[in-house]
Amino acid sequence: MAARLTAQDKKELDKFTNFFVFKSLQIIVQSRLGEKLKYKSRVTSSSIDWFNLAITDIPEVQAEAKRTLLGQQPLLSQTVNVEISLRTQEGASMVLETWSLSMNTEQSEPGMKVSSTVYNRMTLALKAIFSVSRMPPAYRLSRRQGGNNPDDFVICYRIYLGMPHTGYLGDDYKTTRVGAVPTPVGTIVINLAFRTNLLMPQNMAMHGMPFDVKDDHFGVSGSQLTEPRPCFTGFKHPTSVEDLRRMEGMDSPDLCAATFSTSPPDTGGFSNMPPSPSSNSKPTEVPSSVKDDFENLYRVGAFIQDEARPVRRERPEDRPFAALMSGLPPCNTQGSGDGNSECSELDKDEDEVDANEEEEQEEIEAKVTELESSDSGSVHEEMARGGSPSTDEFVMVSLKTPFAATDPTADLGQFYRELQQAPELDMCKSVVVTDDFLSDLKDEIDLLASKQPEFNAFIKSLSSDSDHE
Amino acid sequence: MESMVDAILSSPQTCIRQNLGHLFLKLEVGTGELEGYHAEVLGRQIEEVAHSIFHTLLLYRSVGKFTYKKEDKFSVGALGFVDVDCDFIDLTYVRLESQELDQHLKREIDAFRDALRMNDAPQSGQISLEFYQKKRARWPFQAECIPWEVWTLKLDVITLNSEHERNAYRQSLGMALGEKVMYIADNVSHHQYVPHTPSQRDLDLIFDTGYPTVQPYLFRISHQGPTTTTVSNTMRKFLKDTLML
Repeated sequence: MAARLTAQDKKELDKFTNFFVFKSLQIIVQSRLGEKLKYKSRVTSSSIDWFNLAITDIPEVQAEAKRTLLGQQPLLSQTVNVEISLRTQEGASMVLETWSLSMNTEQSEPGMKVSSTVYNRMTLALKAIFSVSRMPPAYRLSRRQGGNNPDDFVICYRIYLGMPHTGYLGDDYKTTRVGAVPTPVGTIVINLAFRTNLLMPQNMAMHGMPFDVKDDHFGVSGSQLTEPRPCFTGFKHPTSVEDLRRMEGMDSPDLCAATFSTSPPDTGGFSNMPPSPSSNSKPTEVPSSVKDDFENLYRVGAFIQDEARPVRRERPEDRPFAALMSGLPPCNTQGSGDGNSECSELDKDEDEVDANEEEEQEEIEAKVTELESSDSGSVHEEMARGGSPSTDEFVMVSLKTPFAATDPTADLGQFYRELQQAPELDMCKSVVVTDDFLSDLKDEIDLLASKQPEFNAFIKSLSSDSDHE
Repeated sequence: MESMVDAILSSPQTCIRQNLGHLFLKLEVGTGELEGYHAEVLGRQIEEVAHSIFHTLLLYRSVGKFTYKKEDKFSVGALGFVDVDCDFIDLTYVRLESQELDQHLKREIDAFRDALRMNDAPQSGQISLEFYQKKRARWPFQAECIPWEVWTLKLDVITLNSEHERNAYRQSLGMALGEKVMYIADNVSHHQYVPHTPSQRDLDLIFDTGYPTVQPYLFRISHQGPTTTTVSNTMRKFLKDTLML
């Protein structure tokens, strides 16, 4: 059971767990973007490099994760699941895999040091998610989405709480334990359940759609890099700048304002330092002139490749909001020496930041400063929390519409689509193959065969006529 | 006719030979064997098998670069990652973003591959990835190297005659390697011995600090020369073992 933790340890553990869950979700979703990812190693971690892993967060995923996890106290009191699904153009969908993060409170390691051991074990677990995420069939499918037939299917994700819905994975689904992180209050377990039968069920598909993922699963366009477009909005079109502004608002500094440094083992291994003033990530706003371009960039849907705009995601400091700002001129970076860089252009519009968020931010900075001055131990760290999730919530169009019947035939949308299809012609139905029909057909063929010389002579005469002309 | 790598990962004590071949991977921790792994690997190319396994292991056995600011304070760099598509295996694996580390592995594995390909006869060989730490010794002796984890990959090169066979093998090897990557991930999540983070003075006794952006634990790769699997060799080995020569 839970060990007696000091207030500081508990605070750190909660914070680490929080970031661990968010980073896990990022890694999982980003692995299904359908592109080869590359994150550069760096000598110095920046404030966003939690667990010393250079992983660029996607704001939309972050926003969706925050929306789903909002109010869950304590974190991981319910299992956090990420469901990866395939969706065809006709609207049929198939769940491919479910990742789940849960806390087993019956297995705990009371003596484990939070600031060093737990942190390092979380790093290992994130590496495991990174490595394992390339192995299931869903990864191969994701690499084929938007390939030769961009409209064939897309890969979607959904984050939800509660028991994982493995019933949607077919009969022969497999499960594997990706990793486990023992903590003083329990063990965080990461499990993966994935479908092995990749044939689209007939009752879910408009057409039987076998997916052969074996041959050349990377596809012709496998090497093309794409702009990440997670489908957290399902097929909702963010047609206004406000939609995009809301997404960016979610990228609040509470998830990006931690700087780490470490201490030798005499202080218990790795420890965290409070963010230096220069490393405090402030909410950045994209200039409105830039945001206007987002309407053209952001398209619906899930991980759809935009072959016209291949993008290699680099460090966020180099290109903040690279996921949304591809094609825009790169911002100026500075402070490469200390690993912290910021885009000065992005700070121009700070006036647009909500006043409440500014107040919160100031409050947090004050707290951080207070901690910096008061903390005399080797373990210093504070995460600047601020920017509570926007009150303007997203409209989440999940794959399975809430309150909809489970029978797809009863789905109104599908019914509507069926009505839109051309009905089958009666003349096609009336052809009945019988013995008489076949014998008549044979007689007709014989008759035509007997007249073949006559036809040949006719053709010959036509060709000779054309020669004369 | 094309040579293929047939692979089995198995425990050295209970060497499980799958019907596809003989890639053998064992893990030793400290002085004793901890556990064995059994994986299937397709591979027209030897190096892709070794790269995928060794890079996966180095992913877990590396940390961000340490930068000391004071004697007792240091910061840790950020590890980057790269997806790697295999050309001859249906597999994508993740490696650390470090060209220098990749080049080092490539040199070692290429040498192993070349040794296996010295002639056309089906051959076997093994390559090991050993993590170790150094222990200072009194002058004039050199520092003692103490292995704390050893992974051994045994490969048997086989021959497949048809394209159909090669395609099937490419797929099955990719699936088997995927299972092993999953297995390794689960395994490293259990408590295992890794050296303590040292002080700055002893950093080089634990970590390889020669890479600019990543810092793996000290490791070395070694391989044994190919052994042709002929009847005469097998009989010779049998007699040798029997006579305890």
